[in-house]
Amino acid sequence: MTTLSRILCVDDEEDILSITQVALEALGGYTVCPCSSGAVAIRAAASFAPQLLLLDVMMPELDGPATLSALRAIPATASTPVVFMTAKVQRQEIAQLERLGAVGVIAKPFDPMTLPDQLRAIWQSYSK
Amino acid sequence: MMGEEPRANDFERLFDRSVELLALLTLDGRFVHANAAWRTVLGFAPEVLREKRLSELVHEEDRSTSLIERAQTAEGVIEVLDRYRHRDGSVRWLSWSAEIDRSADRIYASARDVTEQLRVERLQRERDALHRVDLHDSEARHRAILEAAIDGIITIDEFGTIEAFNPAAQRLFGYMKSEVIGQNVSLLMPSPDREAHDTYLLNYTVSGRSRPGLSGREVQGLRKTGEVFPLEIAVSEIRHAGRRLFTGILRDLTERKKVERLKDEFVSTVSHELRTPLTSIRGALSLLLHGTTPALPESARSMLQIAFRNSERLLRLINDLLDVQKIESGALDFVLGRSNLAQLLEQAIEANRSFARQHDVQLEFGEVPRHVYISIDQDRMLQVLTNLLSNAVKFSHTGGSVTLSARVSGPEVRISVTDNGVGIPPAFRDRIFTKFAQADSSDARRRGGTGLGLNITRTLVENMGGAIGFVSEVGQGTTFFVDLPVVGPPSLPPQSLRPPADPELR
Repeated sequence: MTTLSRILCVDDEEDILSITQVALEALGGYTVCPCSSGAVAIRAAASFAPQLLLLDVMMPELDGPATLSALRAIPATASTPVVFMTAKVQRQEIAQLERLGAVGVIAKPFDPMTLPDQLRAIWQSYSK
Repeated sequence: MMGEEPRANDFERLFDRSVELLALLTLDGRFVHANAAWRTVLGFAPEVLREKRLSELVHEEDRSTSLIERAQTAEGVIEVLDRYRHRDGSVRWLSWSAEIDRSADRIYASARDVTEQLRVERLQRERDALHRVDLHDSEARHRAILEAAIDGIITIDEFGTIEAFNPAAQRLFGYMKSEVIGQNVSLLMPSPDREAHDTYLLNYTVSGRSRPGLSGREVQGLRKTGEVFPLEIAVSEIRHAGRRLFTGILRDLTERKKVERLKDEFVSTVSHELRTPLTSIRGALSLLLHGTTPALPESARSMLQIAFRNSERLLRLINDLLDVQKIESGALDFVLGRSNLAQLLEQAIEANRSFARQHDVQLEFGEVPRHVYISIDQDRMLQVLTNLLSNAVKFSHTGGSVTLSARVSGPEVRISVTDNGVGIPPAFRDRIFTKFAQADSSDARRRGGTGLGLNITRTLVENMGGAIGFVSEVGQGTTFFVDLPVVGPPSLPPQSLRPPADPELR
């Protein structure tokens, strides 16, 4: 099983993006590529070559699902597992994200202290 | 053979037995003879009458039409109705049949007292007249109501044919009255309500059984323009002239729905918008407090803790508000499945252990039966238990304990959360499940509650087919309990609902 180290994070809320980055880097020891929009992520994807995508769902212009479908067209992220972050955690909403191929859904607001562990658990069950 | 001749007083005795008034009068009204009935009817003895004229007894208003007056010009048999004064002043109506013999100067008269009969007839006439006025009045009133009503009012017969269609209904559906009278009411319904209504009326007509809940239902209406719109309808059945009619009162729900949707959207948007910055605040504070930055001075740490605690409280309030909004808009979905009770309770204890530790309260497992299953939505049930456990922790004394236990009783299991805390003040007990209920506001601040928790908890429990209640003693503590039906384990068919024989296990 490969160890998870490179995560591409997309969130239009820059403060939340910073917190995510600090939590994942300082607590989890991951390398994070923070992107403040889907467009930024698409530009960064090929050179960063992430092992995991962490996408916010509700974003202006390109939302999470649209960003994902654009990333799927790039060879570097064509099959990279994706985790969505969303405040909408009704069952049908989660089921819809799973149909898009999400290997995990993290409810917002999340606890930055446990976020690295949550991603690690999702990665482990995905890699099995 | 000749019969016996009447004796001298035979006729007098015979006349006195008559209940009718008999009188033999001269043409000018003097009494030659009067029978005993006069005493009964007008209060005058026959011997007194012999001193009087009949005209003296006539009612003042009837003098010109009385028997005596008529007798002055008549010949032969006449019939007269006139009024007389009783000796006590009261009025009596007499109906006369009299033969006038001018040549003999005689009036042979008999009369019946018809006072009572006329009184009854008059009453009857008055009542009939009143009834007619009433009927007219009530018809006019009904028409006025029908015309002025804000709600649409439609009357149909048992075959669905429209018989009445008020102006509000015209506005509602966009049809003129003349366009729909005589048409089938299904004209006003979109499919599939249209077909359902036809079947319903047919069934009703045949069986006479009505579908329950025909009143206050929400249905769809179809305007002339083809637009489908939400309607609230209340139907009552009336029987008129042996026919069955149905009157429906209809209210357009379009505006109400719009307002409700706007309100829901507003609450939902505001809550989400509030949550976003709060996520950043809480996340930043959490990272600061939990060591992603170099060591903080103790004074700064305690200030950060205050900020963090309150950001958590604000978040709970927003989450609770969102839950209430979901509940009220019917957007809360429940996925019921069979769950093992003991495992669920263990999960609940684990999830709340760190919160209890923060308050220096011990969470304990009481008696919990194994192999008991309940049909619940696991996430929602955990929310219920978390709410009850965290409440119990908050209202416990430092160093106290909270016990989670369960006991099967008949077809149900009672899950109890018991604390030895402050108890619930009696004055607050009636309101405890209502929204924003707090025993007192200073208490709310101290305990960090939102006042929505128990309201949400009860709704969740009831949506899973359960009931919630509590017993409490001030200064001694409180037990909240949730009763839920016991079901069979997931592998058994649904009808095996019996709990195990001896389910009590530590």
